[in-house]
Amino acid sequence: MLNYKKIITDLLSNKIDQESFEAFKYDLAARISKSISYYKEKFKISDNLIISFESYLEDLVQEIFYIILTSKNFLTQIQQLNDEEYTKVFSKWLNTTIRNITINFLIGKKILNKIELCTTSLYFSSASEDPEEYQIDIDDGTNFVEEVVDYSLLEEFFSSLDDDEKKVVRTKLQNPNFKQKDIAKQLGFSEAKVTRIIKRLIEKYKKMKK
Amino acid sequence: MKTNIFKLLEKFYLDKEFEPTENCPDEATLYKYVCSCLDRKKMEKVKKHIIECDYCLKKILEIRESDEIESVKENKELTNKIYQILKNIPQNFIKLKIEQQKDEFLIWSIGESPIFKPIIESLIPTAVAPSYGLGLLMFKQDKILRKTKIGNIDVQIAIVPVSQKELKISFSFTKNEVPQKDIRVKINDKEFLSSKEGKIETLLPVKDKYKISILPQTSNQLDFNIILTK
Repeated sequence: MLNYKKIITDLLSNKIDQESFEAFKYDLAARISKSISYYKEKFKISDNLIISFESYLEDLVQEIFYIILTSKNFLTQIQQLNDEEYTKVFSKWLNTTIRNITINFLIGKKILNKIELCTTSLYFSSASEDPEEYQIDIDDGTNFVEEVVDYSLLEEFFSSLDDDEKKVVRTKLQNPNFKQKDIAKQLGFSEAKVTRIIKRLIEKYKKMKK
Repeated sequence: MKTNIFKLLEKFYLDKEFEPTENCPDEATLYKYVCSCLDRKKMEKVKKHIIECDYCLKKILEIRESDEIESVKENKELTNKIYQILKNIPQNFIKLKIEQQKDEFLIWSIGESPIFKPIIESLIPTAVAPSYGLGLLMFKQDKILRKTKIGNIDVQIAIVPVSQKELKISFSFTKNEVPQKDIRVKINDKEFLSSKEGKIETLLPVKDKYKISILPQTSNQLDFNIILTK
């Protein structure tokens, strides 16, 4: 793992040595490459579209590099972290920045549009591992599920949620491993209340879907 | 067939735009929170905030998705292609940004380089003033070009840094593709007239702020500033 604290500090003060600079550039290239591969797979983007996207690689790389150089506020705010913490935080920030720029580029270059993003298939290969209470039985009992998300339905569903329902949703999404008792403890609700809310959520969604 | 209500909502959060609130922690705090680099009191505060805030929850989900991306198998061929692009960034680069704000160019460079010219040439884009191309111009080699119109006269302005101390600025004036002569351009207090080819070209020292006015005889004038700062 690279010592990002030293690299970024040296880079911004124009003191970076050739070897570290090249190592950073290669690391950045690998992260960008992974991001493109991830979305190619996730949105089932055809090779033709990816080739057209690759013609914009220079712009994409330029944008990412530029954001790194100009995010001085963020970089200053993490400067006091020790090397290990800095590397952890910077690495996550870098990946997320690359993720966001890649998504914006895919949309901006019309390789993806908002509708495709919203209605793309979702694959829940691990649905069988989910706690039973979070699952919505639809019909055939298979565990490998491809659900086409109807964005407008989700929008309607989301805006129908009350405060307590939203709190349960946010707590669960923030902590994917939380069971109902953990959610209850976090929110100061009874476990029965959380159970009722989750049932209500599922019923509401199923009703809207019909 | 089974699906998971929370996974559906996670997808929804990642797609939807949310507005930050005035209570939202700054970006660095959010990342420190995710990496458990805050003290216990602050960790608790951020955690409670996220329960109330869609914007920050979305940020957390984006960070989590980025973790998934990190675990994807690397495509070495693509990585090498990207690395070749990044290789073009010189070690002691000068960062140049041109920002277009209505009729104003802001050009600034940060850092110093003993080999200004080749580097700066590699920083200038080939793009003809698309909004994006005027962002950061680090890799491509050409010049900064802007096309505009004053009344029915087409104006093309090109800016090329030619050395660490000089900037070449050229103007080209046409009307229905016919060169326009005798169009006045005022740069600070100095006046220039376009040639019969419809052109003006001059060198400016790379410093300070220039107030430039284009004064066609028949149309409204166009004023803009060029600022170069370090």
